[in-house]
Amino acid sequence: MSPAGWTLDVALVTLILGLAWRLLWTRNLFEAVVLFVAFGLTLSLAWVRLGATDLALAEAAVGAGLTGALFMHARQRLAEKLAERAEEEVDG
Amino acid sequence: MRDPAVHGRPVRGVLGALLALAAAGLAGAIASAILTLPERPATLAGEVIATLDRSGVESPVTAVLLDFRAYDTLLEIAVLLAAVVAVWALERGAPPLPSPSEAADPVPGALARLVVPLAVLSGVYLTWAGAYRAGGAFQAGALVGGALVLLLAAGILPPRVRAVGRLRAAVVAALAVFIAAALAGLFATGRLLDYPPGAASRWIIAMESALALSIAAILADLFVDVPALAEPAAGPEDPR
Amino acid sequence: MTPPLLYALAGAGLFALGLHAFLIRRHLFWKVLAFNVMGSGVFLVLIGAPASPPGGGADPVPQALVLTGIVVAVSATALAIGLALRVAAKTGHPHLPEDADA
Repeated sequence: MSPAGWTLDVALVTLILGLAWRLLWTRNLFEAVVLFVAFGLTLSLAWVRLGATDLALAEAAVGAGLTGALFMHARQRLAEKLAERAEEEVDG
Repeated sequence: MRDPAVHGRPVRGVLGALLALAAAGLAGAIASAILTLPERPATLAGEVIATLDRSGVESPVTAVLLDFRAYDTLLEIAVLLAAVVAVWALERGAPPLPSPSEAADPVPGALARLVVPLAVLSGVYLTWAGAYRAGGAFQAGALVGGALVLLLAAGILPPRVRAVGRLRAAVVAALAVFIAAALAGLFATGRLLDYPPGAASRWIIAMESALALSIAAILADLFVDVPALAEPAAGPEDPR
Repeated sequence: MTPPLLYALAGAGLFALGLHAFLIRRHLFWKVLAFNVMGSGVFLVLIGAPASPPGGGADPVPQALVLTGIVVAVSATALAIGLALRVAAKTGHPHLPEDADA
């Protein structure tokens, strides 16, 4: 349990909790998705620290990468669709 | 006008505070459960290590996933397939696919030429490496799935996984292979999903390859089809 | 306190944070995000707790469980986002009708 290891662990846990808090409470969906990707990558580092290298690979590729990109794309389509609907209502 | 896709407003007030307290209490309960674990918690790690040589692979995690608990992996691939089928069902009545010339975009194509061969090579390596170190079908599947998304986005493949017959086959391949292996094991040794002694590593590699292929096709399909669900259905609306 | 114990406790905190946000926030996308955070918390507890007594090592069985869990969570998240997009396409709002502003 070296001091360097401990510092890293405390830093990672703080990052994980801080990112989660911020992403859940922001009002901006774009910011939330970006923070979610960062959250997933930090979690991947945590898996490395815990000795779970398979999980680190999977979390980075699937948890952060795929889920994050999917959220980003879906958010874009949602914003477009809702903007279209709003225009329709205004134009009548 | 505030964009409702961008701003989400939470529930406020007394209810919010009460829920926050309840959540904090729950965290405390879980934490106390973790802190009061016995000195030597029950674990199967010892048994896994002891029987590792009989499993046909060297990585304990792969042994658990593809040999000792292969049944769970079979169910997992079935769940993935169910998710894909559900997404396809949601698309009934969706507007027709854009023709390739409309969807053509030079950037994914250029990237695909560079990335796809490397991704496939790395995917094959990762699948094989899972037997010896970190890696395996899930990670390889995610990598090759990303390459597939590039191909779909670049217009090199038709933009729906459903439209490509071989990719449709790839989606169900792993479940079919796992069920075939389970039944073959039943005939060979009398127990479902039990591998014949000595043949375990060959069976595992075959099953893992099918698994990687299916995961790649399934993840690529989910990535491409889900954002398209934002289009309202083009067919007749359900009566309300 | 060992490092894995720290991660396990963080997992408990993540679970609570996620649960609270899941109940409070109305926007369906945020509900999905919160659910993912809860799931990540559970995974941290599953991996951290067995390794937390001094001398505990990496246990392959929970790792296999969580690996399966990560992949299933992704597909469930994809389906959930698809359903949320469908709700938004039909109703014009990214939240359930019963959660509409009063």
